[in-house]
Amino acid sequence: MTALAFTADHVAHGRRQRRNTCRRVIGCAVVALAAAFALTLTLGQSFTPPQVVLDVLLGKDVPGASFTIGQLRLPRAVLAILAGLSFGLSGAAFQIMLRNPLASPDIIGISFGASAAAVFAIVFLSASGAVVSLLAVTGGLAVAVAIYGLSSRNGVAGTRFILVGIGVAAMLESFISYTLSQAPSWNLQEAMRWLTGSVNGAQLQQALPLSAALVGFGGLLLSQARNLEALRLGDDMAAGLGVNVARTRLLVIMGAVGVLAVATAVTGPIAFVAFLSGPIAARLVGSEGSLLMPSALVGAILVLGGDYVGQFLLPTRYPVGVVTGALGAPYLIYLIVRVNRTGRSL
Amino acid sequence: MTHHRLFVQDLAAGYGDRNVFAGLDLDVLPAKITAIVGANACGKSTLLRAMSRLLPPRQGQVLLDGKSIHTMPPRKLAQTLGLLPQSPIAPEGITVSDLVGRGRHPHQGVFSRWTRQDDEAVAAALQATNTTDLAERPVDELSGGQRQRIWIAMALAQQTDILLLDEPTTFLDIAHQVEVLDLLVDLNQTRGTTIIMVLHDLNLAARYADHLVAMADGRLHARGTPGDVLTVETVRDVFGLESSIVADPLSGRPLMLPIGRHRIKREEVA
Amino acid sequence: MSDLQPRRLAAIPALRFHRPSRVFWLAIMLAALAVLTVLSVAVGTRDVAWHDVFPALAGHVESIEQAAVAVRIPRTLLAVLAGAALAVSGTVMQGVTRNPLAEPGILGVNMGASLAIAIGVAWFGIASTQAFIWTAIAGAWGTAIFVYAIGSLGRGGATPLKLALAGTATNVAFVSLVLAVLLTRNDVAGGMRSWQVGGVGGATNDRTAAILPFLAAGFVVSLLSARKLNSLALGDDVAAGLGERVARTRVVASFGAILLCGATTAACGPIAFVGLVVPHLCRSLFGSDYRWLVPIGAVAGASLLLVADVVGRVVARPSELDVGIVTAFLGAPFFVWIVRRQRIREL
Repeated sequence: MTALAFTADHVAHGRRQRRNTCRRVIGCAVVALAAAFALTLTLGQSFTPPQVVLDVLLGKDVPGASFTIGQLRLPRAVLAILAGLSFGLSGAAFQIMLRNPLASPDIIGISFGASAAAVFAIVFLSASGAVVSLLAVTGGLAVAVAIYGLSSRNGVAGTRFILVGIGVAAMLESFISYTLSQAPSWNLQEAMRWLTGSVNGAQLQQALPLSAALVGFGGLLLSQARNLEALRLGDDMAAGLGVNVARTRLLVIMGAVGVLAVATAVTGPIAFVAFLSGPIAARLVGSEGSLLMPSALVGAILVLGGDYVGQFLLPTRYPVGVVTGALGAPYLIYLIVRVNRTGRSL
Repeated sequence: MTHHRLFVQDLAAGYGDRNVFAGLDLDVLPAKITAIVGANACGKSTLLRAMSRLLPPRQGQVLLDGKSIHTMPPRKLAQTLGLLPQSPIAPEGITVSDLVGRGRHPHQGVFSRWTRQDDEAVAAALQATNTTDLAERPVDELSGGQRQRIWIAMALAQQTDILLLDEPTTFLDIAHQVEVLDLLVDLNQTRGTTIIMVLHDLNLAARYADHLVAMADGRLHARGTPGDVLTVETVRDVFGLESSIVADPLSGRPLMLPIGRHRIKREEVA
Repeated sequence: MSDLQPRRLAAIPALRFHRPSRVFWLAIMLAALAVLTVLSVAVGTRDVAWHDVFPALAGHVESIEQAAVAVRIPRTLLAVLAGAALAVSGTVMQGVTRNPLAEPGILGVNMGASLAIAIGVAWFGIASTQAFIWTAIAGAWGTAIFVYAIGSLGRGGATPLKLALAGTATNVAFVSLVLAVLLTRNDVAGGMRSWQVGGVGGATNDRTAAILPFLAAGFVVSLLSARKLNSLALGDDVAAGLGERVARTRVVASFGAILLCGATTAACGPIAFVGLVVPHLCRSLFGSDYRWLVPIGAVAGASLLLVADVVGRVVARPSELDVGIVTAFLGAPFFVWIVRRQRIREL
């Protein structure tokens, strides 16, 4: 039995080490996010001393700074973080569940549902604000339900889900191009701005539905984190380990589509954040533990950082979606090459 | 120690509109090694999938200690019945001990923490499969034979009384096939684990199994000890192959020698 | 061997009894195409009486109705050519990749052409039709090689799933890049946007004439490759065993396919799914002999695009839907149907 105890110690040691790496990465990500948050609050067009920022956050009325920070910088940063968390969470959930890093919701059509509905509402119904958001959520959910329904035949197989999503995405993409080509110029700007994805004109009350969705749907996802990890071993193996595969898949799709649709409704589909967060997090964390939290944090850093870069570090101002899109496209291509070469999942 | 009993009762299962088999009964001998053999597409893997609840039954049921496995909570079933499917997937970059630890899944709740018991189960599984030295290596780097041992270790860490394996020796060379089967016998002898596996190779099945089940066209054609089942008639009916059965000088079990159209000394066959 | 034989037999000339029925069907389809062509000239957002159609076809433009018909003629011509080209392109691509989901749209080839044109227009100021076509073909060619190369890396070669995902992901990446290019050049964005829907509405005979040589070359190459595609359908190893130079066949045949879809995309913008739907329908009706599939596919593709174009003109009166959106809405359900039909293991 001593040999066993020795080996068990060895196993426990290795596991603790990996878990600590994972915790360290999460810790670093939280610190990085906090630093980025602090930076966006203090340094914009002009510099605001940290003391003043704190005063404003604590509710004091500082002439000038109260407006810049309370009305402009704070809502923007908060929204960016919440949207980033949502995109990162939902992207990683899809990628893990479908065992394919390319199968993130912004590639296999789920985001297109929200986009198509929103663009339709903007161009043909001249809608704005809450109506667009509401329709976007509905569109995203409806398309997800449609893909799920169309891909179920004796249960939903992951590969079929991906391919059906691709087909639906192609159709919606063409619908979006058509809608844009029909748009009068005053609506076109709005539609394009929405499609690019941005946190311009953010308002603090928009954070409310986002946080609610994150708590509800995000909580649902996190409750499935362990089952998701088992799914990475293959559907059969997961079933052998006592996971109800069909139910887990359904719950994960519900949760992931929920956070994604709400976030997309508020900020538009910020390109590639859902897709990029999971693989980046996997690189940092390794294989121990769930990827969901790290991926959500990476998503938040991406959106917050991308927005800052787009606002201040480029010659012209770009919405965050353009920044993440331009960064994401080459990485996407690199990732396809790598994934197909190793033939592996996340 | 009492063993859990697995019963297949009047079972029908299949894909699409087609039943692969129907009205099938099977009583799995506890604490023994059962091998399911048969020609391609005779339904042996389908039977294993139905027995491990990967496939819902069309009719009849699979009973574990008298209770239907399809109505049992999945986690509870997974504490008693383990499964090694044909092509499990190792997540990229995962280390051996981490992968083996995944076998503890059914023993852990949503919020429960990793316990000493879990570590010991993993350690015991690594020792049993002789893979302790590989514990911190990434699974990606291992050879096919090593990988199969790791997957079996994972099934061991699940600490189930019954273990179902779908062709555990495919893609392995003959030395590794023997190694894996030896390992399963070890497991059966030291822990009394009931083992049910689908095997391709008749002679290896006869050598290693206590009980052979021969399937043909969705029916159980024969079952019993290797000596009872592996006969000239069974091989003819199940595989459509003429053969000669001799006693394996090493094990005393039957050894099937196929008779083709060529290279046979006629007087020997007659 | 057993699953090889039927397909091999289909390629053996001795089995001639199949052919009369194919000739018959080809004749029927040609007749249908002729009817559709007339229909396409006669039907549109504006109702035109038959006594105006024929003078217009003869070149008279004396009334508004006759003028409307005169506008429809180049459009019909382009639709016929584009439909045939896309269908043949899809047929050949499916043959080259042995992949039921291969199609210029799904593989991202059309978007590759779009990106090339966006970059060409925005940064290099290309304007002539010739430059447009060459740019589009270069973009399509580069993308096709790229997508196929990355889709076939790793275990199992270019499976439908890997190829479709590689294509879609490339597509998404290129959409993003097109957007980034266009954001710097607002002046060209409008034109790109209407081009990107895919349509034959703005056809002129000059433009059609400009792509004609490319299409002709593409058709010839595809027809000549047809016999080799039959061998390739049996798998690379078997094809090599039959004495086929597999790599060269692939390069030549896909070059033909890309000439076709690149030139078409330059003239019409990206039109999705024609290259997917037509080969599938033809294969289920006429078997898998590419020497027949290529010409039959051309006729069927031309008919399909004409129908889609006429439908687009009629359903949204007084405005009209571009043919690209009509094919997308017809084709996507078809794509889903194919995916559902396949067994999971084959994906």
